[in-house]
Amino acid sequence: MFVPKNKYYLFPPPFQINIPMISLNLFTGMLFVKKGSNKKTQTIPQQKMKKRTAKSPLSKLLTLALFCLLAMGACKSKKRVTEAAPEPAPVEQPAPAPAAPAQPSAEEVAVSRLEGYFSSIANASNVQSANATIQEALGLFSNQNTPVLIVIHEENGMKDYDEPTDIQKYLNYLKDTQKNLNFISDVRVDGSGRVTELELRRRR
Amino acid sequence: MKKYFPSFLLMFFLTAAVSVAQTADISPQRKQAIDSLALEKVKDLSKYISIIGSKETQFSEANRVMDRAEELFAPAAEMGVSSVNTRDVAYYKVRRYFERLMALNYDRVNISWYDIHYISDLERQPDGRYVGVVTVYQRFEGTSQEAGLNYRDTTKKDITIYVERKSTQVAGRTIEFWDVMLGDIRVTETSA
Repeated sequence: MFVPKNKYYLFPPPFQINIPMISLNLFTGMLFVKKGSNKKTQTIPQQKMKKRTAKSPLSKLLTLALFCLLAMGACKSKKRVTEAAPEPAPVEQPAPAPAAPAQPSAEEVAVSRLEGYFSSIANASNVQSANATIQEALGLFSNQNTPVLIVIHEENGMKDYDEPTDIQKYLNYLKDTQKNLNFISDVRVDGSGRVTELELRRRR
Repeated sequence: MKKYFPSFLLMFFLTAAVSVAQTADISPQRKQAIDSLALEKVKDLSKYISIIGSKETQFSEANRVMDRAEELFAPAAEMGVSSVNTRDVAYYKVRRYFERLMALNYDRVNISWYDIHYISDLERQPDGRYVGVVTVYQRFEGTSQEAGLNYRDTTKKDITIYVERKSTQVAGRTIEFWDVMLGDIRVTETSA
């Protein structure tokens, strides 16, 4: 048997654990002790161990049988594992936290409130009521001269405007004519959320 | 420099031609929007006249509305006034007309305009302005309980409309807009 330098094998290496001075064969259960450190290492089985050699036909047969048994068991075991592998238990996913409702932007808030004011002013039952609503609506603007642009038509990206006016005049216009022909198409607000410019568009 | 002069001249004429072509070419939809805009101004005027004439309108409010109404007119525009009692038609500057209207000696005044429509579509003039004529019918009713005075008439009036492209600065931006101006309002018919 080939014995490498400072090492020796009784059986195929995978079944053999080599520790300095001691060697344990897993198949045969034989424990060998390495004696000396010279090139001609001599392995002496412990006295309690049965005296067997790898060359024994019986040992070979037993080893082969054991090997086959292990191989079959491994296959069967693997199959069973495959078959019996339970479906991965549904992991209890924590319910996704309800997405926090997106806070409306300052522009959206302004548009919503202004549309309400425009409608109230145009449909006010009397002048006093309309004036009160106008004063309330003016509070949303940076000043009473906030420009108001009215788009009457748009074609190829080119806008046609009515004569620009300001918010105070426009609110009074709603009151005087009692008609709310335009909707808010664009609004600009300052840092404090007050409207600094308004663009309206004709309803169709 | 002289050798480039013809090139400069050619470029000038080409630019002018393109500019004129762009102004002249107005799609039907765009023209309709301008027509509607002008007609809406006439309807606004009818509301203003009703407010100014109404005896229920406060003085300050009437003055504010007079300012708005005056802004609708071209400078020096005149308003015709007629009566079923006379064949004459008097013409007043619009501001003077509004002041007289507000001071009418009735307890109650009701003015309404109806059947507002174009009798002459807006047409582009050589100077670039659009000019058209709108006709309205005005129903006037004035009552004075103390004097037992009742007056009513229906007047047909023609309003000349001018629409012009202008530009102005808004928040640092140049905004081009259609300026609608009302011209003289001529009385064409008066009936009881």
